[in-house]
Amino acid sequence: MKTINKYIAYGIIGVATLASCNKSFLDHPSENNPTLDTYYNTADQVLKATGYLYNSVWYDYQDKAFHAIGETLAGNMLTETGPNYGSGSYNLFTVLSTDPLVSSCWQSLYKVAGTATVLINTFEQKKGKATETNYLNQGIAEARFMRGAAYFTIARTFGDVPIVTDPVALAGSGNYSVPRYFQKDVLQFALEDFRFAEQNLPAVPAEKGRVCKYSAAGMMAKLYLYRKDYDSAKIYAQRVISSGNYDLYPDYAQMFTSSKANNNVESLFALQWIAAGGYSYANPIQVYAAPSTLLKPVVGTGYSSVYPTLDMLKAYDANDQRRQWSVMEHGFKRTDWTNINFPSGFVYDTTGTAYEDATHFRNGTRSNSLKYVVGTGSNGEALSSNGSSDICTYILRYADVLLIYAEAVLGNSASTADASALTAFNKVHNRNHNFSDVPVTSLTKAIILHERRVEFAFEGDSWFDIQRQGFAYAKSVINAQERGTLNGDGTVNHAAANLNSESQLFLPIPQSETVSDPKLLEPAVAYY
Amino acid sequence: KDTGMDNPSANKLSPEKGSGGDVLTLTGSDLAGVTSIVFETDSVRCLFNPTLNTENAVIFRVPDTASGGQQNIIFKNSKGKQWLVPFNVIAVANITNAFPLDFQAGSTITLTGINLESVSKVMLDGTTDVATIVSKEKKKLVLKMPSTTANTCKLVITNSSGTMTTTQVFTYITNAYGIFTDAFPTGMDDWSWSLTNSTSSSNIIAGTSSLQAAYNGDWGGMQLHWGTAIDLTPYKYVTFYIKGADVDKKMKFNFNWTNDQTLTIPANVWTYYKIDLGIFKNNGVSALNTFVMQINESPKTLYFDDILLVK
Amino acid sequence: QTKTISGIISDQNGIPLEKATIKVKGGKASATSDANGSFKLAVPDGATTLEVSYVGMKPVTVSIEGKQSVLVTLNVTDSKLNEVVVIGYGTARRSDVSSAVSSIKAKDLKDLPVAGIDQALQGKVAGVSITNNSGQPGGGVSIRVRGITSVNGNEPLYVIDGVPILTNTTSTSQDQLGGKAGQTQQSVMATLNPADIASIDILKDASAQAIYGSLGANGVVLITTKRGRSGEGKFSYDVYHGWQNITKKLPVMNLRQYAEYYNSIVPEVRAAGGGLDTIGELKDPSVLGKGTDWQNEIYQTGKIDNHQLAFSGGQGKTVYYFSLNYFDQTGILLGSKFNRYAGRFSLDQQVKSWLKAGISTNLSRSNQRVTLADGVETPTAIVLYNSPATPVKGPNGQYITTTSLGSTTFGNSNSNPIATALLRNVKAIQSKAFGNIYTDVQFTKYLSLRNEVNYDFQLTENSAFQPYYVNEATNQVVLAPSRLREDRNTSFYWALRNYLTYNQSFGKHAINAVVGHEAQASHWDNKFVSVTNLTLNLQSSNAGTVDVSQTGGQKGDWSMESYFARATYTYDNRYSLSGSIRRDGSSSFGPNSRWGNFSAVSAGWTVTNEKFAQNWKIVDYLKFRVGAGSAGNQNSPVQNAYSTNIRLFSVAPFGAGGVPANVGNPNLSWEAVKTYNAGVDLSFIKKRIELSVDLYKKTTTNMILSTTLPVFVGLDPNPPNAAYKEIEPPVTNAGEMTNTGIDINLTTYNIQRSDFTWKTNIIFSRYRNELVKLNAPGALLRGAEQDFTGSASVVNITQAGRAVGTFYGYVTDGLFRNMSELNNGTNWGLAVGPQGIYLGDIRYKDLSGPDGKPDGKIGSEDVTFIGDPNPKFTYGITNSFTYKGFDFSFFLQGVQGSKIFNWTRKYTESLSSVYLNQSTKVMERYTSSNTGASIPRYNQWNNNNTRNSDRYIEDGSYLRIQNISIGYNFPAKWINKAKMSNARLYLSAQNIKTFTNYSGYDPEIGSFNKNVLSQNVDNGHYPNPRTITVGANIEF
Ligand SMILES: [Ca+2]
Ligand SMILES: [Ca+2]
Repeated sequence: MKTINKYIAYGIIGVATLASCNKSFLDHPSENNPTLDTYYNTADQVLKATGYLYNSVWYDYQDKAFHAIGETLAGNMLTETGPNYGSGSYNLFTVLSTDPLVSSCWQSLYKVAGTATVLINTFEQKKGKATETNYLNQGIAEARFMRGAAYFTIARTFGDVPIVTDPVALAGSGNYSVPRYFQKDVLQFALEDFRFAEQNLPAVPAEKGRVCKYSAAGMMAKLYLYRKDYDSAKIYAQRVISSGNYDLYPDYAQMFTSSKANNNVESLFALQWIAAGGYSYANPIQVYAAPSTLLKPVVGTGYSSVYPTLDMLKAYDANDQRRQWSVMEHGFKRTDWTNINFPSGFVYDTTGTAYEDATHFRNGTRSNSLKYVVGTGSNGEALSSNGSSDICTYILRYADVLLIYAEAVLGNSASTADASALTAFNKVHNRNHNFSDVPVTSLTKAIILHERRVEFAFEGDSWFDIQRQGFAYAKSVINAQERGTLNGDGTVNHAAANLNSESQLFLPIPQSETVSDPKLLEPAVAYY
Repeated sequence: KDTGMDNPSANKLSPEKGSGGDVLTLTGSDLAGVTSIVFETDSVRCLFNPTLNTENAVIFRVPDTASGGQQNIIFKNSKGKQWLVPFNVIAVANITNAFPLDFQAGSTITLTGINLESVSKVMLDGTTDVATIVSKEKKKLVLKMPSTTANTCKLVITNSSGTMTTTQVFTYITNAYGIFTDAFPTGMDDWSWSLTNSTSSSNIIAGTSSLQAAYNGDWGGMQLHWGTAIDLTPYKYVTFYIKGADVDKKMKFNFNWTNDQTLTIPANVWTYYKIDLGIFKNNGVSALNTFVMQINESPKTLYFDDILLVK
Repeated sequence: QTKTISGIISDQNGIPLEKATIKVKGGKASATSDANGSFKLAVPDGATTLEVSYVGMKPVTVSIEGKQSVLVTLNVTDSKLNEVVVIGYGTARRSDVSSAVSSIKAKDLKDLPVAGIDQALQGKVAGVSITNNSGQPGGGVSIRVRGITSVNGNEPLYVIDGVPILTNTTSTSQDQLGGKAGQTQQSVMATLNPADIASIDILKDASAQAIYGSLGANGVVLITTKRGRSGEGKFSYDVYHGWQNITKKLPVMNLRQYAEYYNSIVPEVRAAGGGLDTIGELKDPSVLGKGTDWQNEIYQTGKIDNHQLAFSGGQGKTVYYFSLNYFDQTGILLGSKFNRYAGRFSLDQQVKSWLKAGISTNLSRSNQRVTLADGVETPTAIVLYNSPATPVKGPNGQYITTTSLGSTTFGNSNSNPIATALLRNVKAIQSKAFGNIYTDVQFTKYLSLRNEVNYDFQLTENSAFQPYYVNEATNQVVLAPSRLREDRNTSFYWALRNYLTYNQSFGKHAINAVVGHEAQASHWDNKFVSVTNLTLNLQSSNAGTVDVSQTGGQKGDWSMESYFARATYTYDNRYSLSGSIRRDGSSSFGPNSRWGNFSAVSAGWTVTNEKFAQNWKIVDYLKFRVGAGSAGNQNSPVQNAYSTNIRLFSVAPFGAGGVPANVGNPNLSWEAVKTYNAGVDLSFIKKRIELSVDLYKKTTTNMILSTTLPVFVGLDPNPPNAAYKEIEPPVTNAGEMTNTGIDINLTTYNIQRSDFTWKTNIIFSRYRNELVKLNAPGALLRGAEQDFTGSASVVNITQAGRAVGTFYGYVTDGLFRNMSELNNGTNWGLAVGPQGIYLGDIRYKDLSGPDGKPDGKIGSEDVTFIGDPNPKFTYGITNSFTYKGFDFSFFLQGVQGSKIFNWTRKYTESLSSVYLNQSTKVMERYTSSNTGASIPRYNQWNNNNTRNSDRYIEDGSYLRIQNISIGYNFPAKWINKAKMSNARLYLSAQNIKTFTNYSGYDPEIGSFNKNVLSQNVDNGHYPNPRTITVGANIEF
């Protein structure tokens, strides 16, 4: 009996062991995705990877920091005073290192840089294994453009900052401390990336919306201007102008309120948003900038968290049509934007007595910016579930290149009547017959900076125009601005910023970062 | 069980008179559970916040739409009990809309708004001229206008609760220069192209006729020309009414081909335009030679009336 | 000459006992009872008495004079020393165990109205700390065996009748519907009916855990369910009904108080140069009522119903058990619910004399509805700061969000907490079938083989829904857009296990050995879809527009193969030595480091069995135990972390493609835990007092850690966090953590009379956790908390040299009370002035600067460690009494020395916006006429006063009357008439009273989603309810 039992039992054990002795029993590579060994072997795979850099990696910068830094510090917009925007600290220059937008801006921009860097290094490694490397070089150039754009923005926002070129090596090293590098070196680092892109990207983008050689040249011109290297700025701006590939888009208002204008003839570099992607893929600006009367019944948003300052509204010349092309004020109407409360077209109505009701809206300056507001979707604009849209965010447009050119020609002179500078300037100034096509006949720094302020208002770049003039200038401009709001009776509740220290030209490094890398609290060192 | 609403008894309403938006506090006992508050005259319902209603108090605001005068406020609670409290609503007139915004001696103007049923007097601001009240209703007031010395004026309206001045400004046509009132002025040549101008008696704002502008080609233009330019120095505004076509249209408008303005003309309705002449004067136009109204793209018929240069 | 005696051995319930030992007193003859409890024994003629013994039972002697057969009834001994302990792949007598194993029987957990057995263990087991992470019915429970083993998952391995339960219960994150995520980790044990459990054994040290190898390091909870016993069939019905309510409400202002507050703020704001107008309705607070009490609106009386039917019995060679259970709970927070249908079936058959086979199956379906809690914009939080002037519903009976008093808007414009709680429908439905099939082959008297197949099939249907809701009168959007997210996850797990057991005694030697092999594998498959703009708010994925970015699927599988062996040698019941070894291969790791070995040894010396101790008067039992061993953890935060995976994306501007998802580490391997344990078991004064004390040191090395890099590196700075689709940094084995502690379990049998007994059990656990190092000097892990508005700020920091999850913030130094304090030369981070930093604002200490020394400036360097959330010790005291038919128990449970970050006060005492409701304490804030205040001034201009600081750190110590229950067993003579064999009625109350200085709802906070890195942060927490239960147990 017992012998038989044993045989049965051993039999069972044998079956069990056989089942698992199979060598592959413990091999379970992911069923969901390829691995690095099996990928980036075709041009298309590389191209799609760099395409990723135009979108969600920028999101946390785009949604709030973009306005708070680029516009609010500049005095063009006020933010709400809730903690979302650091309790309104950008309005008054009281930004702390624990500020939420300091963190999200830092994180997002370094995410752009880090993702680009991983792609650059991955493509470099793949180059060693591939037979045909051209597509990998193109991928590297496009990723370096993005990294340059990220570091350019980081350097302008935070000043002296760390640079990381090999995150994998750093992760493996066990020592994550990196010092801050001088801002000029960070700008140089960004410039090298742009230069590589300028030399390696095609003259015509591989697909509409991607960057090309001239996008890089334009960014270089902008960076040179920042460094007051007017000769170089002029050369690279000229290179873009001479290409003949760019022009101004004739309809300024449409350019900023319709995704149909995406990647138009004026656009050299724009972030590419996708409404269908939803949160973090879609352009959220109207979610924060539009009034609730427009969006709330449709998608529950329209927070009016950022809106024009009285100072900005005052800055428009009486005849400058860019005011109505850029700002909603009482009486503004769009018949193609409809919602449940405005079936025959949205009307911006500030005559209510409360902050908001279904059809009236009355914020602190009775105005909202129009740029990147595309409406309720009633005219065919795609919206995500919170009202974010497809509209691209212009980072560099041809108007900028023209004004850079004019400013570069002016250089350190008090004024200029140089014909090429005036032509470039007036092309922007008289777009769409603005100012009745009456040109400006002499340029000064003040004229150019004023033109830049109104031309680029609400586009997230204004603060850097002030900042690059230095502390004394910034102080005189900023502290003189009206940053107050209107009371219920229309009187002004005055407020002014207090820019009193040169360090306020830059945001503090987020506290969470200085905790993990105390070296960031030490004086900056040279990178080059 | 005491529900706090069995025997409602109002003790005191404070204050005893007030106007739209004023806060009222009714105190008493068993006042809980109020479901409706109505101002008796014209049965004006008051929206209130139930969290401000306790057994001993109801706090609410006089509705902006309450009709003026002494009346009762009617309270009802969820048990169907009802009680009345006397109150005097101070309700000066409030004008939300006026049509038309220009007048001649004897023409009529219709004002719409609220608290107009007790209007006793309408005066032209800055003058002693008085308009004749043709008819009055709570929300509508029809006036017959007098002749006056003013170029433009607001209206001062007195009713049983008091006096107010409109925000709307009215143009006295007689003292303005008429580019078109019922006809073109002498000394003007019609140089329009792709357009037939005629007068219409069926779509008018004032007088006997309007200008029917039948555009018949894409980018057609109305071009009115004065051999002897009209000095703009005394004039501050150009105003006109345009009745839109069956769709919204864009119109390019300028004086002397300078500083193009783009007007959006809503479909099917008369729209009033009042444009500051500064936009032309500041661009070197000191006298009117050419008045241009150029349609944007496909042709339509539109009506103009009371094209005026206003002092 | 001999005669043959036959008989049947059974327990006090008449259930036959197999393998009872029957010996002739003074002789050598002995026998063992069979599965039916029967035996035959040839005895010498002169023999008069038999000794019958059975593990865990009191031995008895039986006279056989003049008898051919005997019926022997054995009673379970109360002494823990004789109980049977489940130790994994076998059982052992407590007296033979030399490692640290705690056991608890079903009877010690009765009368507790809990969804899952995990909750019931709270305060009952030394060295095991159990925290309810939420008052949510079916909500998450954290179990930590001997402190914090790892910065990764710390939940122990649950093994139910040999089946490891390896899945989590997770509900859909509510940020899918907009707003905050809320807690998503729910109790995995809630899917199992606690009434089916017979006993629980917890392996606490590595010498016990090593047999579970790479899965056992966090402790192993072995659950044994009830099975049938031979004898007459039994039928029992257990029922209870309970009521729950909130134990306390927080003192926030009512409308009248709020109006006074508002009116007092107006001059303060104006004095500071701001503009704020009085509001007509609020001018005279005396005519105002209390307004809306939002806490009253959202908390309700919860209810619990439980019905349990069980049938058991057996005849001859067959025993069976089956049960049906229905459990239904409505939470105290609106909208939270949990119900469960469970069925269990087991059958054991003696097929041949040498072959036994059996099957068990558990089926359950649980349905949980989760209310959004834990987070600043959750209903639980909003009710604390929403305006008392805002009604829940408008006059038209529909929800509203805000209301206007004149031109001022009150209320929370983005949500109405009541509407969110009631209209959102977030459900987690789990259907689960698990069980095993086994055979036991008895080759010889000493050698047997067990073959076992385990299976676990699970279908998880999670969904989150919110309707579009507009108030038709005001057109206010209360909820938008309409949205439905549905998740379906199926998983199938199987295991095949074979092991030989050798068990023999010869003379004074006893050997028990096990050797075996195990293979297990699992496959899971997940599909999810999100749709928005649902036609007519239909809750169907057919009714709306598909949101492409939130629609997709994933699948995966893993497998493990293991060899294990254990041997225990006992000499003369005095010395015992045990050793075990296990070799595991896991698919979680790459080919370089797939296999791992785990081993342990332990030894015991029972002093009282020595000759010299025979005459000890006081000490009845004394045993020393020492052990050491290693166990592992293989929970990687990133799947397939050994290779660099490409994350495929479908949504991108230039089309679908792939980017690196992580940085692979081909050498990734186990997390290793070594434990040294020394224990003593004592019993004295005629077993009146039993004491167990264990000292341990547990060292975790090679923790599986995601490298946490500074943000500026550009990889995911807060790994693992796939939500933001960053590139995950490499996962490495690094770091070291120690827990040193002591577990004490003291039981005293104070009175033991036949009609009155009183027993006291005291549990004491203390550990000190220290993270010795992480993967890099200065590396740290952050526990973030969402700020007032959603941006995360760091609250807990886990860093070398500190306990896990230590709180982090500024150190306050009182308030500024005169201008000279403000103008003393320090840079306070903001300009001095009414709208900057001013009188009545909080002063922070300048502790450091860029060079590590105070720099005269308040800034990032001044942030430091401000409190440890880990308790100094925890304890539980149970007193049980029986008096005739009555039983009574009284259970206290406590935690001492833990700190809580009371985040809730960041809004109830924010004093930053006059439109938010506040704690009544703010009436005593600093003003120009109350300069002695401890609460800072009203400050709407900057966030100086709401910085994370020790202002919010509170003592979390508490002593709780956790349970009082009284029961009555009806006398047999009464109930026999109704053919009942047992009938008991009881009344029980839970969470009756908490003694604490903590100012929030409940000092029992736990960890957000069971994550040790963010524990004891009270942010819109769902408090634990008080429960009153009445119930009955009836047995036929
Ligand atoms: Ca006429
Ligand atoms: Ca300091």
